[in-house]
Amino acid sequence: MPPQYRRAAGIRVWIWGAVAVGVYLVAGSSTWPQIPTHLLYEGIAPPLPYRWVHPPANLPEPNQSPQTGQESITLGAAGSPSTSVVTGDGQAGVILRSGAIAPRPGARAVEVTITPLDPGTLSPPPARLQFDGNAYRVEATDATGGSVLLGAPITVVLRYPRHATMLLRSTGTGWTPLEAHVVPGSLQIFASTDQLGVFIAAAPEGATGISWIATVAVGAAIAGLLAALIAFAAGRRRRQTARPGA
Amino acid sequence: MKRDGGDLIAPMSEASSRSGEICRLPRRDSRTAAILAAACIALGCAALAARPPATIAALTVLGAIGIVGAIAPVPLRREAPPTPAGLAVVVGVGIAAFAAGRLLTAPVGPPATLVAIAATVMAAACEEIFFRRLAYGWLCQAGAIAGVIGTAGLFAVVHVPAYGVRALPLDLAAGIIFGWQRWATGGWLAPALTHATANLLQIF
Repeated sequence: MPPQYRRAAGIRVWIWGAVAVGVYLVAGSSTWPQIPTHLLYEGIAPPLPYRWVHPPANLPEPNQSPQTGQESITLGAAGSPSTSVVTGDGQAGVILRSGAIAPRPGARAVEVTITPLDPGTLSPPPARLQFDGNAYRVEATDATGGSVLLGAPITVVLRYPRHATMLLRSTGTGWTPLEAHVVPGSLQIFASTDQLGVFIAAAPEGATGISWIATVAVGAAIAGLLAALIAFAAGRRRRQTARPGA
Repeated sequence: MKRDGGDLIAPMSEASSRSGEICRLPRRDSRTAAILAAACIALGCAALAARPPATIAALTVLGAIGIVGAIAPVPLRREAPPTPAGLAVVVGVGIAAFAAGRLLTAPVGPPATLVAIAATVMAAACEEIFFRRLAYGWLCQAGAIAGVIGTAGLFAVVHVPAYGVRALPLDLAAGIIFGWQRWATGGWLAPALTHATANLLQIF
């Protein structure tokens, strides 16, 4: 290729590279704030065992106690900065955007705490639903111990142990569903809420997930492997017959 | 790459095809090779989309897909191998894009484990062999843009069951970066390195 064409081709590669990076950053700036979970491009690592407050009877391995999360958030002129509070085991977290906790006269900081709870000690689940995992109390207090109200919605993220499809917030006497988004790749569910309180993941009663999907996936992979082996063998045979004197 | 009614087929890896293992196929054989490749790609995508997340079955599927991507023949394209500096710059640009994206988010999740790190690196390599070697190798018969966009589309769609439709634009854009790297370097090493780093950036 003549040098001037090679140079032009090189420039074209870098222009397309800049376009690709630009597209990614635009997509990221609109998508990332909506997805507060680990968005790996595959969720394949078997997860750490779920930590139960009150483990189910048939748990295959010893249960470890779930951990709490606590963070002191300094309030500025516009209230709380953009930040997140996560439990030590990563099973629950809240994401606060800038100003989620409004500035309070005399208050320089607020303490946000996430505490795992046994759902058996709370109101029963709504009809035809079952809880999936621990409940988590999310609360914020100022230096005087007074509770704090939200100035803007926060995002609550919970990991679930089995197959949650809903995120519920306690009303004190019952539960109200939030508009939740499930991320099966990381066994997480999240929702935006304008109130602190107690949250829990839930699923329809008797739901067990799709048990045959693993068989379909492995079956398709094996069939693909067979097709690849046939193509490989055919290509090898062709090469042998194409060789001079073969 | 059409040549006198036949195709040039790279039977093994691109590295071996560059060393001269090329065969010119009669039209009927090239059709058979294309049908088998289409079957490999379709079955591989179905397996990736259906893999149950966070299970041993998902790891098994990934391993199988990596083997499919490595052994299925692809049409040969006469691409000059990149210089080490060129490869490093392309990988650096990709990693910089993912690092900038990582600054836009504060993901909530469990702490990283060695198993998670190993699995996510393996997954990146297997997916890149499948998408950027096998799928790109066939789709780019219709042009580099078809290869880049086509593989990015497949990559994004197979991840919808695990991450939801909300993540589709991001996975599509990530696939475009990987495809651009495949086009710019002529191999799947640059996208594999970038993909593995992008995954690790998510964990830490």
